[in-house]
Amino acid sequence: MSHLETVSTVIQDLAALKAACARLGVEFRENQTTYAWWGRSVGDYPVPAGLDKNKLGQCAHAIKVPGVDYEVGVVAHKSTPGAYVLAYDFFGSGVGLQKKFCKPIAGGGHTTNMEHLINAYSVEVLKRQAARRGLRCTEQVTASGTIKLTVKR
Amino acid sequence: MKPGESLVFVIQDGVVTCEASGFHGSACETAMKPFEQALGGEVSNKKRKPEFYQQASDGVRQSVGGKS
Repeated sequence: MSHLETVSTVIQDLAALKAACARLGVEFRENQTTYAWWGRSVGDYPVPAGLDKNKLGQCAHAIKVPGVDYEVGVVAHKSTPGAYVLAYDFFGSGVGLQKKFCKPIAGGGHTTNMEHLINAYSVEVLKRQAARRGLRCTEQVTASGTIKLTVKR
Repeated sequence: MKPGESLVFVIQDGVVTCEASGFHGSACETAMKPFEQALGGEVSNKKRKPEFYQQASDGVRQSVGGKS
């Protein structure tokens, strides 16, 4: 071994995001410019970084989970060209989005961080990057859901 | 990347951890860079293993599947 590091992920590859949605069995709705949510912010939570509070509910694309009324907005980051933010309402119907995309918390409930969607997106990004470089990619998924991707010549 | 070199990505809880194996010198950083850029986020917890500090070989002397 020669090197070990940790990398966080920023959504910037829509093809990989589409593939991630297919992988999770949800629908990527290309060019859908609004996403379903409560409809107004009641100000109980800060607006996530990268979102414009005056444009909540607007998006470039949306993600639909079968059986859930609320949707996830794929919103262009307000200050980083080429980057997208995932916006969604986690109250009411949004709990269904949390169950699908977020990590369970010990004792009940889920985070709001969309770990499962980010994981699937990251895998698709890495596989595409490996393919572009003519490298082989082997994927293993553990019982706990951890994904291991080995890339080699 | 050369035969014997590999990158192992572990994806969990929205975070990607990458471990490079079989590289010598800074070749691992060169191999990892495009993957880091594609992920687009911040790199943290970077740890260099002993092989990093070895001189890059000419490819003939390089061992395969090196361990720390």
